[in-house]
Amino acid sequence: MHPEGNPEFAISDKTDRDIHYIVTYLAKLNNGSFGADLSGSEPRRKNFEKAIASKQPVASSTLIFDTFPKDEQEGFVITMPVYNKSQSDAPLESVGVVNAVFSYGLFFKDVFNTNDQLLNDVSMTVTDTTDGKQILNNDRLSGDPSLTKVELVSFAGKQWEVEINAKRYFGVSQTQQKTSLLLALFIEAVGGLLIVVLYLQIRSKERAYRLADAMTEDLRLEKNRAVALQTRSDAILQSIGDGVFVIDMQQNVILMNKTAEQITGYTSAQALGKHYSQTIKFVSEDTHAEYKSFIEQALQGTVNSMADGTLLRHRDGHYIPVADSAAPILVGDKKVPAGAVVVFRDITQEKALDRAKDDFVSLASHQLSTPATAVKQFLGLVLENYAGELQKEQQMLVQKAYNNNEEQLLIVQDLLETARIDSGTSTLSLEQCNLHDMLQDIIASEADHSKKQSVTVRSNVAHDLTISADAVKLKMALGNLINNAIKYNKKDGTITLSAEKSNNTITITVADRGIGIKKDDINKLFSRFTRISTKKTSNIVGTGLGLYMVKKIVELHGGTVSVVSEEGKGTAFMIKIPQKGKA
Amino acid sequence: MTKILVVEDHIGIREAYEILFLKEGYKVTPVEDGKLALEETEKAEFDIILLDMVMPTMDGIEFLRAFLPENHPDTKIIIFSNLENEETLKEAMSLGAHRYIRKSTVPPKEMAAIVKEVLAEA
Repeated sequence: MHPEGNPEFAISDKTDRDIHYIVTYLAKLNNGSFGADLSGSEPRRKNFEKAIASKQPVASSTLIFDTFPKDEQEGFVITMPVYNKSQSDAPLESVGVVNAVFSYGLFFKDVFNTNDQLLNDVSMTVTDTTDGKQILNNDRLSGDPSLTKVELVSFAGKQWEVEINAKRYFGVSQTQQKTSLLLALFIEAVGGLLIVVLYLQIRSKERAYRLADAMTEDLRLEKNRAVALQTRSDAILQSIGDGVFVIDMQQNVILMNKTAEQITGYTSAQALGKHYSQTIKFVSEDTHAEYKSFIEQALQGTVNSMADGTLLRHRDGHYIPVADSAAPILVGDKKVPAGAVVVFRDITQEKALDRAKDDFVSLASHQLSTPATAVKQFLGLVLENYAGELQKEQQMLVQKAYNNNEEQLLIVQDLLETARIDSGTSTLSLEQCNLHDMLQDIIASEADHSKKQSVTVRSNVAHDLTISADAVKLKMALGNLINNAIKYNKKDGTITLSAEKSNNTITITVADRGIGIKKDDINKLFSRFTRISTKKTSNIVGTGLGLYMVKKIVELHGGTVSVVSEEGKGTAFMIKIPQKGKA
Repeated sequence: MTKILVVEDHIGIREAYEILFLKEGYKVTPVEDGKLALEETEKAEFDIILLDMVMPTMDGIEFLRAFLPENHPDTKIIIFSNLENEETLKEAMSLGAHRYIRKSTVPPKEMAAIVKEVLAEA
């Protein structure tokens, strides 16, 4: 159905051609008129008014359609008022009419198909009772009818007189009732046809309304869903126990949650739209220099953890220890960074717990250390024959006890040193150390161990290379690396120790051709109490403190430790220490 | 007979050194803290004092301050401790201690050798 009223649908009745009826929907204009049709004939206008007033479909009296072919000009219109009901209890509002044009000739031509045997034996006239106009007279019936039936049909606000005449023989095998039934069916068919025409038209209008309503409802639901989603994600963000803020590529804050407000002392309103460092300032614990690299790297596209010892400057000036990370917001198929999400949490309590744990470890280690030392002395007395000569087997057993006690003491020593490092009470006593001699001492003290593992330790270090360091601690660190290299080596493996000086930095490398370390495990290596466990290492004893201590000792010297490893091929640890000691 | 004063709060370690130095032929006086050690030094002069640092009643430093090694030129003092606090060790050495031994790493025979060595020093 087009707005200009062109017909769009067809009613087909067993014929090979479509029969078109002009059905129009006429919307009510602002001035209350119905457009061009009102300027038409008087009967048509009256029909509109009658339909609107009665709220019922109304058929007009006979009209002449000028534009129709000559034999089809007589006809009528059925007008169906259309209302809009915005709410269930609101009054009906007239919005227009559906106007269906029926030409008598066109409309009934195909209702009475000429080839229909039944209808050749029946004649029918349909008369509009309001003006007596006979709109149908099927006079195909030859001869006088022997049966006549007249029925009044109400439809479209009019009474129609339908007269059926049938031939005498038509009823031979039929009863009167059957003829009546046929008649009734036929009348139903005529009425039904009219109704179908109207229904189709009205339905299209209703469908449009329904569609509009459905669309409106969809939109409303969609909006509600979006609002709910927004509310929900907002609620989730605000409920997160960690501080969260989001920055764009210009590093301006675009979002900040309540916990972030609490930790920083700034409100979202104060932070939003400004460079994050104006309100959320991370600094390094040691230097109080602004620490932003982890955020900058996130904006480049990588997830970054904050460095240990990160502090956040509160609005009132005090510093809060914080931890966590910055992650990029990646958008599109190409995962282009569009900003970063920074998550941080106040770790004051964790730090306090950590200190309490350190204190405990320290105390426990001291308590363990003393009796273990006494055991060492007693076993030493026995082993060194202060209590008389030992038999070979006794000697062997006491030696085993002594060795295990040694190991126990080393663990305690590691724990104590770690506790000292963590509490910040570990200080350096710098002296010029000959690196070659130090490494030779370590090789000598590890001789039994390396022999047992069939591992060869070679040192390529120049005899005159010296380093300013705390001899005891550096020896502890290097000893740990060499001990590890022996422990995690292959049978008949080798360890190469080398050292070189460049730009006042001494790089000491401990390289083995052992079992290597998985890529994923490398980051965990230097964490406290971390031991990388694999099938190959499950029998190797360790505290998980060694490398942590190595790192801390090297850092105390102002240096760094790094590792290169390939699983199955070997590992190289590199210690870089400024030759003059810590700057 | 060489007289040695062993000052150590832990009974096990104290006994072990007592046995060691008895076997080595010294006259051993074991005490459990600095205060008792000071009392012993008032009764007699010792050739050597093995002094623990961390003790409950009067620790090693407090003992040294009270004992004043410069007033006892014939008494050698060996600090033996597991303490790694550089400052404390430095202070002990400056107060007149002769040697520092890490007791958890030195076995008895080596300990005896060190004592002999220190005694032989001028």
